[in-house]
Order: sequence, then structure tokens, then C-alpha cells
Amino acid sequence: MAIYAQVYREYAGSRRGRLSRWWAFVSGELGLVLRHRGLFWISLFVAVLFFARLTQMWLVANQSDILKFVTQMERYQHHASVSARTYLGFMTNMQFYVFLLAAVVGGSLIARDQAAGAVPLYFSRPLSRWGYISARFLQLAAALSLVSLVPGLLLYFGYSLVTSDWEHLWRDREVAGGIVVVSVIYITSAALPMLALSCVCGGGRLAGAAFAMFYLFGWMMVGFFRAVPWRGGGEIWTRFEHYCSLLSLPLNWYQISEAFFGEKYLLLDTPWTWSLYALAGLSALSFLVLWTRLRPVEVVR
Amino acid sequence: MTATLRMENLTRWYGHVLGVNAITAEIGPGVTGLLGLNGAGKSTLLNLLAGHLRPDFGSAYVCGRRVGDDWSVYYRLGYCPDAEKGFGNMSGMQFLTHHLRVSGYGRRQARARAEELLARVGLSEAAQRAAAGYSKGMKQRLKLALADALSPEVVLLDEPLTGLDPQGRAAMSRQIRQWGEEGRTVLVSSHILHEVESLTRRVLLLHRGRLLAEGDVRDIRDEMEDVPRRVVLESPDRLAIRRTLAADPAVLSLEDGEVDGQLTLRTRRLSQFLSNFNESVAREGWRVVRLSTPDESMEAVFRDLLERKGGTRGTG
Repeated sequence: MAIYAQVYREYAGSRRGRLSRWWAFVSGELGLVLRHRGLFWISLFVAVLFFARLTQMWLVANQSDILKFVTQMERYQHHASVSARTYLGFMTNMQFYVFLLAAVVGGSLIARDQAAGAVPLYFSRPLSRWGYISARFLQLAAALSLVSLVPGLLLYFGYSLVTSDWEHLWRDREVAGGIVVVSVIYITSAALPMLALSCVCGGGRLAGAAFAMFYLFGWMMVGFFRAVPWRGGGEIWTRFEHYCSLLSLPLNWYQISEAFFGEKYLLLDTPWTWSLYALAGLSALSFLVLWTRLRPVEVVR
Repeated sequence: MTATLRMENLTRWYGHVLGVNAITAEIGPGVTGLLGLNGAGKSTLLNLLAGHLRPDFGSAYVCGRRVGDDWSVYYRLGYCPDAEKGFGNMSGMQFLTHHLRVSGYGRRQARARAEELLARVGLSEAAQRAAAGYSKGMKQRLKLALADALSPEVVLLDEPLTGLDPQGRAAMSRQIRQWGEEGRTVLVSSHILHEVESLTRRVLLLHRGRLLAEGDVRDIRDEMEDVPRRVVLESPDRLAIRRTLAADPAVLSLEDGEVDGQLTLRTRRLSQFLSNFNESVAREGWRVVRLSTPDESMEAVFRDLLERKGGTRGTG
């Protein structure tokens, strides 16, 4: 048949809507994220901590005699009972694993696409910039929820299971709310900066290392303030230390967690709302970086 | 010819470096070669046409729709990039299915289509293997399958034959020619001239971001009247032919060739010379063993065009 006599025939398959296409992108690579080897090992550590807490709850409820010696040590007295502080302790333990998992899994999510030049290929599927960013966020958030939200809620339900105290589910509903809100804050404020670094650094390992430095910088800063000779030298220095702590991701997480669980650990002077603003600002800045760097038609090798 | 690909003053800068400069051209159905030296702007032009890059000035149109404005363009456009594009840890089957699903096809449809595409490019047996572990040729075939995933009307191929063995190259060339015969618009970039010559005689010649020439290689050559063209003759009647041609005003120079009976001449009016020569052969009864015009090849045209524009580098 002559060329001029032929007509173009599009593939006969039906085409789904924008939401279905977006979900296909999310789910298509979610499996790859969840099969990451790092996630397996980190989840293993989290599982150990989870079962340790669950055992503690079981002991408090059923074998309180064994815990008598704990009550004699002032520092560990709170371990002899189950309260909001127990959940707060567990969730603050999870902070480190949220950071670690974000650094290990999240570093390569966008950097890999950029290195392979696959970002424009996805945009020409077509997938919108918003769709791409939200999909990547959701993939990382799903992984991070496995070391924050999921174990937190499992512990909450687990308490009822090991103590047969089903009224706890309704009675301590503020605790469940605290677990959900705190987990969402951890996940959002870890995932967005991690994705932004992944987008900016150009390599998964470099992005992971940069995020680790950012996280550890927060701890180092606190350590520095506590070690220097002027500590205790006046209210002004204490205030300076507390304001500087707003730059620290883990300390902000602590502040927020304490506020939502109604407990106090670190005794920082700055209001928890300031920490919330600091984390919201960090997340917004990260989103802005993603939005400006990931232009649908600008990435080229 | 209806233009399915149209470029209007297409310009792209990378900071102070010029990618492509004010390219205006129209391309219709069939295979068209995009030729140029390394760094000529071929990949930039393809990225602009594929909507992966935003032009600084000008516009590109696919099937009458402006690239970048209308998302439906992407469904009529297939792009086979030069680089490996995000195979990740996926198998060939997963890679194609994933992209088909993101393009809007249901799970079952996407799978069926991916199987069909993999069979077409000869990757059925390797479908479940990790695509990152494929050989260069297999990756090229997978990218070709991706370009064909939506049965696009316009197919852009960036160096598709690079890294293929002779057998794979022949199969790939056959596939590209078939697309052209089906009425699709296929734009193939390469800096290897004989590759493109085996696919088509219709070309766009790029040099330092500018469009040097476009159209059929023979037409381009005909427009270069100031550049003399060589004609190589081989005949047992060489002396008689030599005497006659020496008096022909269309012939600029005559030389004996290295082989006995061979004669090389230069002319500025090739068609007129050939017409006169045919008449003479018929009239005088000369026996002509061979007549060739080596400067008609794509490589020669490209070389002459570059010399006219002051370029000196050879082609790969």
C-alpha cells in the first residue's frame, strides 16, 4: 500500500483518567521501594524495639512483681507503668529510624531518575509535576510509616491485646491521636527534605549523606551548647541555646512529640508551636526546591 | 506532503552555549535522517521536538499541535532516547508495563501490549530479566519498544543503531523502514552517514546548531552548482571517450584513473553531462563497463556542505 493511502492507526486500547495514571505510577514503583534491603534491616531493629515495649506492657499488666526493682530506681520509675510517656518514649525512639530510613531509601528516589534522564520521560507520559512529586512523596512516606505510624498504632492495639483491656482503645484515644499526628509530622518533615536533597545532590548516596549531616548537625549543636564553659552562665545563653535548637530537626521532633503526648523530657523553653512552624517552614522550603528544580521540560542530559 | 512535524524558528541556548539556532523545517511521513557531527545539536533538537526541553524561542508542532501546550501531543509521539532512561531494578516486561500503565492503560491491556512489543523487538525470552543487565543492543531494542508503545504517529529516534551488532542493526533498520512505509513520521538522528543512507535519502543536516540543508540528498547536491562533481567511467573505449569529452564544455577536467580503462572527470552540470554522454554512447556505440558519481553519496554532500560553511572536521 502506498504511503499516501495509509492512515495512522492509534493503539486500540482504552485510556484511563489522570488519577488512575498517577496511581499506576505510585503503585508501580512502591513495590520496589518496599523491597529495598535497607528497609528490611531497619524494620528488623524496629521490630525488636516494638516487641521489647510490648513485653514491658505485658510485664506491667501481668507480672508487676518482676518490675518492683525498677520502681526503686528513680530514673526508670516510669517503666513500671504504662502511660502516654511509654508511647512518647517509643515514638521518640522511632525518630532515629525514620531519619535512617529516609536517608537510605529516599536518597535515590529522584536522583536515580535524574541520573538516568527518566524525569522528562515520565513527564511526557504525561505525568504532571505535582503528580510526580506527590507520587514520590507517597512512596517514601509509605516506607517511613512502617517505622513510625504502623509500629506506633500496633503498640497501641497490642496493649489491649496483651492486657485484655479493650476499654483502653477508647479511654486513651488521645494517645492514638498523638501517635498519628506525630508520625505524620515525622514523615512529612523527613520525606520532603530528603526528596529535595535527592533532587539537588544528583546522587542517592550523596543525598543520603547530606541528610545524615543535617540530622546529626542538630544533635551536635545541642551537644556543643551543653559542653561549652558558658553553659549555666546566664539566662541569655540558655535562651540562645533554646532558640538555636529550632534549627535542629530531632529537637523539633522532640518538642512536637512532647506537646502532643502531654509529657516533658528535654525542658526546652521555646514554645512547641515554634518547633511546628520550623518544621512547616522546612517542609515548605523543601517543596519549593522540588517544585522549581523538577520542571517538566527542563531536564536534559 | 502533509507536515506532521513542524519547527518554527526553534532556538535553544544552554547558558552562553548555543544548542540549536532558529531552525525552521517541516517533516512529513516516512523516514528522515537527522545528520550532524557530535555536538551539532541533534539530541537537543529531538528533545525540543519530544517536549523534553523548552525552546528559548520558536515552537515545535506535532500533527498541528504545539508541543508543550497540548498534552495529547505526547500520545502521538514516541521517543527513543540516546541514554538509558530509568530501567531501575525493573525487568523489561515491568519497565514497559509500568510506562504503559502510567500512560493510562489498564493492567491487563498494558501487559498484553508489553508482551506484543517485546516479541516484536525479539526480547520475549529476556522479558523477565532485569533490564539494567541487558546488553547494549537489548537496551536499544527495549527503548525502541518503548518508543512504539503507544503506536505513535511520530517516532523520534536518537542514535538508535549505536551499539548494535550487524544482525541487530539490520533488524532495527528493517523496523525503522517498515514504520516509514506504514506512513509514520520517523526522524532518526545519527552522525554515521552510511547508517542513515541505508534508511533514507531524505535528511536534515545540522552543523553547530544551525540547519545546513534539508531535503533529498540529490536535490541538495543539485543546488550546490558551484561545487564540481566527479564522474568515474570505465570503458575499453577510453581513448575515444576521452577525445570526445575533452571538447565537451560541461566537463571541467579529465584524468586517467589508476585502473586501466578508467577515466575520472569533473563537471558542474551533472544532469546535462549525463544526458549528453548517453546520447554519445548510443551514437558512437561505446562499451561502458561502469559509470559512477561518488560525490552523490551522503558523505560527499555533507563534506562539501561543511567545507562551504567553513567546517573542517570529518564525520564518524
